[in-house]
Amino acid sequence: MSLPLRPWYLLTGLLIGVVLGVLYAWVITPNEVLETSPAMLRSDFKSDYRALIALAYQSSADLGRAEARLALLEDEDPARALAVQAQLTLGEEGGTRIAQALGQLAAAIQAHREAPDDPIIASLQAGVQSPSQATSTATVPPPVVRTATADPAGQPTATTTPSGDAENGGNPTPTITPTGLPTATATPGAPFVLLDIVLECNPNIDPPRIQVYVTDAAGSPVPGVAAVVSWDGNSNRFVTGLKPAFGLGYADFDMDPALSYSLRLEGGGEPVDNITGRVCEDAPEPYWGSWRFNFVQP
Amino acid sequence: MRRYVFFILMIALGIVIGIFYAQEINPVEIVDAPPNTLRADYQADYILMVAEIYALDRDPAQAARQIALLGSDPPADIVNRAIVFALEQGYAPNDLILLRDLSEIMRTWNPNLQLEPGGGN
Repeated sequence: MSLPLRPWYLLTGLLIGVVLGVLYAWVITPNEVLETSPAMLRSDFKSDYRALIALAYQSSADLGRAEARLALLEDEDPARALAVQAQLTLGEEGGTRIAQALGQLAAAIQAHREAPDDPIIASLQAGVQSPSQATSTATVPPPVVRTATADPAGQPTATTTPSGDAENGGNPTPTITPTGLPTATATPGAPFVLLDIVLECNPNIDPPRIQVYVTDAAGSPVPGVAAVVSWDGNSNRFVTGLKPAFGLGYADFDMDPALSYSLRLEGGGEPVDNITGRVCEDAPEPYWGSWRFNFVQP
Repeated sequence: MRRYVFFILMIALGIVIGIFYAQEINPVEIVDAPPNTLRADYQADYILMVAEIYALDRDPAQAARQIALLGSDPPADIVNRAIVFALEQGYAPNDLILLRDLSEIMRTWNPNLQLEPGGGN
């Protein structure tokens, strides 16, 4: 009599069990033992974490450690993520210092990527740069390498405790400073001077820009230098190194060619006034050119 | 009676299958987690970052704010947990010094008194 029902109650029991098992594993267990990694953090906490990495890099100047920490966030392109966050942070109240830290780290990573493996070539490259390499097109300056970059501590590791690999275990051979790269900053008391102004005629740059290139006395691009552009009672501040693809000492500002701007670097130097749009006529259709200001530290 | 036994056996089998499915085949993907859920090693490294920043800024209020993201425990306790972990894992001596500096200032720092940045030096 009950034979036809037998498979159904067995199936019902199985289904109840499956539901209980899934509930246990998905709902109950994760709440008890929740151990996440930085990659799982909410996006705003990830931004905080990224900022913390950049600020810690300013203090420790350990690029390898910073890269290992950034790897934990699993950004597709860590340098780009840093640069984008730096741009966003600039607009926030009190975000200038964080933006500079983010920009410097982005620039350091970019320079580290572009740096040749051979330390001799690297040091030669650092020595041959000239501050007057202004060209008619926006070119990416050669990587800035003051010292060899073959730093074993600079390699990101797969361990979950990046702090453990920073110390080189007392190995005496590599005594290279990992920070030599992008932490080149302006020497206090030595303001940058305007070397030259170049009209960049590139129809692909729209709207036209005020472009700033800053190099130090050795001809190396300097990230983290703030430029202030003012017009009609308004002002905007932008910092070099936040667009590593264009070079470590590069910063730009989208200009309205109809307005007249004034540009100066923070921390001294003469302002440049009356910056207005200039038409380029090297194409069938005239277009607005961009201004490139090359600053150098004497 | 046998029906009940088989019914319970099937529930047990279902639980096993359910757990296997939920943990191995289709595990929970944790997203949007807060920092206080970070694993102990990541928390220790987080504290180390705060210690590195504190070494440069000497700003205990800022350090306390950053540590507070890891939970509502007193900042000194959170730092001490990180130090224990760091000792167990053999962190570099310089890192331990930074962590101890941070622990020291967090022990004495009183948010109500608001020490001047650098005042804990």
